[in-house]
Amino acid sequence: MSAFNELLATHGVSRRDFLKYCSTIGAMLALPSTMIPKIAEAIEQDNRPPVIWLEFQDCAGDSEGLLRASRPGVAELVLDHISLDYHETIMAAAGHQAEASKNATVEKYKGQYICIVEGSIPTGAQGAYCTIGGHSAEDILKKVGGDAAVVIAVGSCSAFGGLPAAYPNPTGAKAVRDLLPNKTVINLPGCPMNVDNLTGTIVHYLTFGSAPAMDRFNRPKFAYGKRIHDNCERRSHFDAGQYVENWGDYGHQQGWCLYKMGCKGPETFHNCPTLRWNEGLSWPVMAGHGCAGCSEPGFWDTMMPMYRRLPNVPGFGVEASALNIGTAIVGASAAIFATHGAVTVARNWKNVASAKADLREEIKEHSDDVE
Amino acid sequence: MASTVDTPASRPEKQYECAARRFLYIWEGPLRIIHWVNFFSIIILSVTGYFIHDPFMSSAQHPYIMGNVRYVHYLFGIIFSVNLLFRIYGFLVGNYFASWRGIPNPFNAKDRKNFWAFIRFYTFTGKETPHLLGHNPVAFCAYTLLFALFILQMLSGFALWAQNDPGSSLYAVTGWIFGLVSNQWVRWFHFLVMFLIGGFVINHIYSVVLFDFKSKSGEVSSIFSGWKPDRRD
Amino acid sequence: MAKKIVVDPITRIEGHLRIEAQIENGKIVDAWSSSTMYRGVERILQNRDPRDAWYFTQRFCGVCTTVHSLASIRAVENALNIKIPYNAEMIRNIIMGIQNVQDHMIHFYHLHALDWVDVVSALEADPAKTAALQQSISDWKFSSADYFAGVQKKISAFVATGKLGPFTNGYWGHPAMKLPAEANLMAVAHYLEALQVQKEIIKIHAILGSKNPHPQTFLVGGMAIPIDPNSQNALNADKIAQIIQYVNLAKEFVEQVYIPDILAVAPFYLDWAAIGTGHKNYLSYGEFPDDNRGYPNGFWLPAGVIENGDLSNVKPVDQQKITEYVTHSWYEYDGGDGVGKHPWEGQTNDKYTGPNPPYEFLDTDNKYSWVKSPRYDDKPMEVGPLSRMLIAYATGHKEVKTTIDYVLGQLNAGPEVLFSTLGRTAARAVETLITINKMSSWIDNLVANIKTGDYSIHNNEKWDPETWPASAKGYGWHEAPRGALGHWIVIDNKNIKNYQAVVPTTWNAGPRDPQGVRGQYEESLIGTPIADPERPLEILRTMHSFDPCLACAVH
Ligand code: HEM
Ligand code: HEM
Ligand code: NFV
Ligand code: SF4
Ligand code: SF4
Ligand code: F3S
Ligand SMILES: [Mg+2]
Repeated sequence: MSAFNELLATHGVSRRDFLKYCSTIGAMLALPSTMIPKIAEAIEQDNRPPVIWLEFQDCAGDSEGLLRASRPGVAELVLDHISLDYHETIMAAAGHQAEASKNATVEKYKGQYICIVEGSIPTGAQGAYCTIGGHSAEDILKKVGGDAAVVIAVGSCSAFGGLPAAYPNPTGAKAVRDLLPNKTVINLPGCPMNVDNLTGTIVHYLTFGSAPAMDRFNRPKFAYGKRIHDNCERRSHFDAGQYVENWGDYGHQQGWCLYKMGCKGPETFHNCPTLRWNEGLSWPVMAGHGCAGCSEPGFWDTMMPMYRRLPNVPGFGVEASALNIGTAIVGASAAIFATHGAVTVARNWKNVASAKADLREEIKEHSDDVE
Repeated sequence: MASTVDTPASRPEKQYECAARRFLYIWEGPLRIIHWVNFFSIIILSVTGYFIHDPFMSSAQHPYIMGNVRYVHYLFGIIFSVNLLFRIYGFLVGNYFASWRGIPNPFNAKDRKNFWAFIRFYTFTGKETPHLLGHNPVAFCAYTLLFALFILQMLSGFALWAQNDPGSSLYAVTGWIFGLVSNQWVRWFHFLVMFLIGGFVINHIYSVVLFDFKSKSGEVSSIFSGWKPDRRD
Repeated sequence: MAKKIVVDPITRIEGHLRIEAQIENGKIVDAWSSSTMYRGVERILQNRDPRDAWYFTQRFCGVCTTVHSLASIRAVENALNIKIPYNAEMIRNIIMGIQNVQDHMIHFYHLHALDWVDVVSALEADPAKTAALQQSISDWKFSSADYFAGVQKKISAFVATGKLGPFTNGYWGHPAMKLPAEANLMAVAHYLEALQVQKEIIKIHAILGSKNPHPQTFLVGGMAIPIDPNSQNALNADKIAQIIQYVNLAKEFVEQVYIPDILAVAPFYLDWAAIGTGHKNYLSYGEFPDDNRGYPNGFWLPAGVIENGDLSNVKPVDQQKITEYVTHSWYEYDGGDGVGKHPWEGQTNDKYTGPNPPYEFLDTDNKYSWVKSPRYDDKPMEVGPLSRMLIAYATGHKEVKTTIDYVLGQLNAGPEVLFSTLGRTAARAVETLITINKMSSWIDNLVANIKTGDYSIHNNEKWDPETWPASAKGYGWHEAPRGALGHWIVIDNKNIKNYQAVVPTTWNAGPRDPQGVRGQYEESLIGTPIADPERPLEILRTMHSFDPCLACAVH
């Protein structure tokens, strides 16, 4: 029995069911029935893992990212390396046909397929903030993600809640990991994710049969193991104290450090400086704008305001900067103790006056003695 | 040598005399050293920390300014932390005034009375200026909070430092913090605590000068010399 | 025999679109357009720094990934009365221009083409005949019989695996598919080529703005890419040369593949020049500031309003006439859901009243979508490339007029065929062509200005919020790939007090207004023939002709 048949058997699919499936495909493609054994053979030999790509509260930025893949290119990826059975933005089928092809993969390849999720999952309004084919995102995720071999959350929305979960999180948006706590979820945050990290993860998974080593936020270490700041080409300018002070100034033209313009490279773990984007062409700091911290959990609140170094207290707007709060604390203590001092001096004024008089008296007596 | 509430105000005849007939050695050498090492490292950590937050001088002033300022911050971060550990050790083995034995006991009626006497004094609601040889119980509370801030500052500082190598053992020890709050909040907190410490320092210096003046207990000089006048007669 | 069908999800679009349609005697007699996803970004924006807003709004959409950044910074610049340097204006034009070109290209080949092209039928094509077809329509380099045989081999090997991936369950063999096998094979080859080309030409965004999607380069007051021909860390001659390289690649592909494909395919689908019409009201805000008079003067493509298909009367646009209704959307308004609110007074208070999932049908008599219903002067408007092209055509815009007249000449038809599904698709192609041709003039302008020694890219005067007035309001307009985009902002005490976006797909995909007047998608579906209600390919054709983006529409 071939490995493939074994695999089918463990999932309760008999050889007969399988051939039936092949003939359905044949019919769908209007191929002669003599082709069926050929199809069966091809399927048996084909080792592309089926992939279901779900989109929930997303902007499709990660899907667009997929289209920018270059190693391998997206055409090669989709034709030769994976079987992208469901991806709303790309797939030919729509409506019931689309749902059918998703369900077929879930049933046929239970525990075998890769589930990729883009976008956060709303938990408010009984799921009505995001439905597909009348089903809530949460239900779809639990069903499709629950039966997957592995779940990959692409982009910060699915990895950490992302933009929809930013304060005040109007829809109760959650990350994949919150809803599939018992599943291996590989997080590839970034807004969007860098597609080379996705292909890297898939290749790793297919090569080693397991998820790559991950950090405490389930981010693969090969991509998120070091801070931007520690790999940044402008780091020597940071250490040297050479900073961009104004957009377009001499330092900006010379590629000095963007720290004072709010760069969040010092608190962001991502391989932007080494991997870069669009086939290694550039990355935010290289093009003159600071890092916004897009691969960190909650960055929409913690890394904002974007052009300042430290976050504000959420909900209080730009006034509640740490510096303002700190100055207020010091100012308030100074004011309290200055007042306390003034009151103390006022209350003791009489004593001080009489002490002074006594002193004069004593000095006088003393000088009399000397005389 | 239990502390007493001294009430010079109730003995007007002694008002302007030097009350002390002899001196007591209250703050031992190590404690005084710890106090002043602490003082200097906090000043340096605050200045360098603020610079890290807002590098207001540029390379025009110094060719490697941020690198050096961070070096000094980290160095004094270590000095401050070791000093802090010494102080904690002192809390276990030090003399009565420096150690846990001097902790005001909320179940002790006398300690409670003292506490309220100081509160009344600070809020101008009492007529008397209380006096104790060791820490007064209100100040003690402030010191406790302060040490909590110190420990958090140490932890957050080392956690921030460890980020440059998440594989390091330092990160293994401190990295759990980032599971609780994001590194931006750690940084935010580390920055804000500087101001809280600043607020304490204003309070602290004012209070010691106030007591020095009101109870004529030689407060200020005691932290240099260790001696305080014995006011218990 | 009436039947209500549901198409959910509408695929090959951005976002979550659901169409419910009533079919009688093989035709659509009524339709409801709904988006089933909401995030509430307008609420998330409240109380934030207006200078950060672009970064948030950019994430409305990762497909038209620059447009909300631009509209946002323009809104803030408008509110604070900031004039940006000429260099920044030209860099913005280049970024917008290539965005439109690349977005249209992806739309045509990867989102729309499979509505007209039968991939499976390509397997039967004769590669030699395909080569002859290709050579007859343009000088495109990939035109040999060997080349097409190779493509065909690749596809048939793929099909033979039985794992069709994204092509599973497509509408192969549908009676509405009309192309000969050779044209299908040629189109499949171009599908694959376009995948390659789109990721190359969009590298212009990476050069000017670090990455794509979501370039990180926008600033209130200018752009973040410094200019200095003598620095390796700034925009210099080398980078400009790279940009020109990618523009040339795009131009070659558009001229030799995209446009010839449209002209080759259209004759097989001329019936679609009378389907998918809609309200025939068209709106454009105008785009591409052409000179240094600054936004919003001196546009290359004009602003205007056309009502009821009357090309002889293009009216000026007045932003005060824009309102949004929520009568059939899952929101509530202070003051009742029957009133329209101007975006400065707009509200985004979501309140879901539809059926709880899982559900089969929406309650289309009441509220049924997360999209609001924008109206101009209380009328529904269509926005998009067709609107832009019609307004430019009607006002005598030189490039637009020449190109459209040429296309109409090829198809042997008058301008009225443009009010249709096919018209939308053709107008998008025309726009792609004239835009890619215009790109070099912006690059030239930029270079000429840098030559004068002007390297400025940002106006710092109002960067510090301390310089701002206590309160201000403004709006920023942009012609995005899918049409007229507006962001309205109210700033109070350095914070965002209110932020409202009225987006191209909001105009097109919105539900009915209080008068029961349908939205543009809904209206355009009326009368569409449906050959097989189980496989509603025709609905996809008209929907795709708008290039829907629902993440944009709802935000
Ligand atoms: C009283 C004690 C301290 C004060 C007032 C202080 C103050 C500061 C301030 C204001 C910052 C800048 C925060 C920002 O805006 O980014 C900072 C950063 C930092 N501090 Fe401290 N700090 C103290 C103790 C420590 C200690 C004990 C350590 C541990 C070694 C430490 C390590 C750090 C580190 C690693 C940074 C990040 C700086 C960088 O590398 O960019 N600090 N500190
Ligand atoms: C960064 C500034 C300072 C800090 C953080 C600080 C902290 C402390 C602490 C924690 C104690 C309790 C001693 C112990 O049990 O370890 C203390 C005691 C004392 N400090 Fe400071 N100190 C500062 C500056 C000063 C200065 C500038 C003076 C002098 C004017 C001063 C005078 C005293 C005195 C007199 C005591 C003994 C008061 C008592 O009875 O509790 N301190 N200080
Ligand atoms: N509708 C829309 Fe967009 C565009 N073009 C934006 O404004 O697609 Ni995502
Ligand atoms: S992570 Fe960013 S790019 Fe991805 S869906 Fe969310 S907003 Fe879009
Ligand atoms: S530009 Fe940003 S990441 Fe780079 S050195 Fe400066 S602060 Fe660090
Ligand atoms: S904003 Fe994101 S893309 Fe990289 S440089 Fe910063 S992590
Ligand atoms: Mg809106």
